[in-house]
Amino acid sequence: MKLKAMYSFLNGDLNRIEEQLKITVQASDPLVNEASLHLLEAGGKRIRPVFVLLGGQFGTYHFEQMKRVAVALELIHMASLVHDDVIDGATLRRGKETIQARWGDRFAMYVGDYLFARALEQMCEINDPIAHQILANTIVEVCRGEIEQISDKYRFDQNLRRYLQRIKRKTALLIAASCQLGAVVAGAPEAVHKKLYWFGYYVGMSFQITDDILDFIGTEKQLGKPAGSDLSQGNVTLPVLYAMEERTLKEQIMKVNEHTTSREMAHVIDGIKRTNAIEKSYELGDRYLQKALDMLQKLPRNRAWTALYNIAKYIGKRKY
Amino acid sequence: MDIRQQMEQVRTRIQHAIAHSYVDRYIQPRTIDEDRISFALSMLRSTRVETSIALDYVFAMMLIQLALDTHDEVDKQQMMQKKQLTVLAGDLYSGLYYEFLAKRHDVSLIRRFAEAIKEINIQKIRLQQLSPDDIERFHCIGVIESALLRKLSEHVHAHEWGELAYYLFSLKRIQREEAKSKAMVDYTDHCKRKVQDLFYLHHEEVKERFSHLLA
Repeated sequence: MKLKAMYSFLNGDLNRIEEQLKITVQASDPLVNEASLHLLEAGGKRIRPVFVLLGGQFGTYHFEQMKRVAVALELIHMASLVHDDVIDGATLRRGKETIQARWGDRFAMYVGDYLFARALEQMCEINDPIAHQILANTIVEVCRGEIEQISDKYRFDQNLRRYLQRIKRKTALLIAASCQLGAVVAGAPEAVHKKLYWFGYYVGMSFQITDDILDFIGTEKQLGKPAGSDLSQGNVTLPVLYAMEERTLKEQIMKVNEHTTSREMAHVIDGIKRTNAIEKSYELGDRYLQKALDMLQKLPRNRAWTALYNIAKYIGKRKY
Repeated sequence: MDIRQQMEQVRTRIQHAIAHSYVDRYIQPRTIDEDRISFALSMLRSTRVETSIALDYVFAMMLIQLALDTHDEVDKQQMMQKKQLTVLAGDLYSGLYYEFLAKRHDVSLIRRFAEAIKEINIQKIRLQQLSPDDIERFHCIGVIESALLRKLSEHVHAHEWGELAYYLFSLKRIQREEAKSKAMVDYTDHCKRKVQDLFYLHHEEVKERFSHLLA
């Protein structure tokens, strides 16, 4: 089953959210409009709005309110992508030229800040202080996670706990917040929205672990970048941590730096793939996935429940 | 607590909030614009806002100002790591403003400041597109320099302070610029006249602090 088919009952609402995104990013300056629409047209899975809408189905679902939260989360995600592209010096995203590549760093910073402001304006249509606290705390933690990612580059002495904390902040928290916020704004009981948070958190952890595995086993065509790019850039991910349990390989990995050639990298990547690191990483990813499914068992059954179940399963099996 | 003590308290709170052992090792210490703190505190002192609330408002506003100022520095960074951390530090300060006001349940002020951030960034982009002698630049500068203060003035129903902020902080910025065109000199005179006209409405401490700009 394709991902979109798992929540086809939301198609009408998702289309309206897409329209609202276009309306929201409109600015009085034509260049800001052009850049914002350029980003929107690059597409994306809009998985955060999907989680918001599904979370909302566990309470009293008012589309107008769901729409505000969903748009806010997607805009915050978009703003962070624009700034991430400045951080990475990326020229392409989803096959399209990035904002910084086309208009420069300074312009990209302003567009990112503009989108962030637009997101908060949307969110301010919601008067629930808990919802704001959840989102604000998530934004701060995500930033701290990104700073950690930079400080941990080429640090091969880090442990599994540090890696898990980093991917929690990098990926899991925003998915957890998306699931929870939909339910909070829909007035679902605390016991329900907290379970949705944990569901999103575990799914997010599993998703990022899979992403980190695919970086080694995916093809350049599937990944849109050379295999092993994370390690080349100094990001010590789960397969690397497991592979370093083998002493000889550990010595090779620890020599990786900014100047490592692609031939040397290919050798290290082959070494990692020959160990059981990928298998062990999958096992941990599966454990998180199972935790997500266990959490789901504690939630009332409805069509959103089925969709969340299928999405979790899909994320566990995805190949790129 | 007199205004100096209040300013010191805001400054200390900001420094504490933005302290980050890793980021601080790589990026320059951020400059906290005391003129803005002073202006905002004077404005709030002229209203019935309680001191503790005033300090919170100014603290939140200054976090945003720091975020925006930090992002202005991104393309000046030569070293990749410094550039990366400059981006993220600015993002973090923006997040901290939102987190702080969310904890205070102050959705109304979050909205006003978000409007200001939106306006400021549109004007920054606009400014990049204008030629150095285009007089529209002055309006862009006015909005960039004063939108946060103006939104705060609206929040506390002290609208007249917003207009003063527009001219006063335009003046401050234009006077910093080295090369001055004829249009800039004329606009500086215009701002000075506006500030003189508006000064009578305001506290002595504002006149005292900013009178050097009129010289």
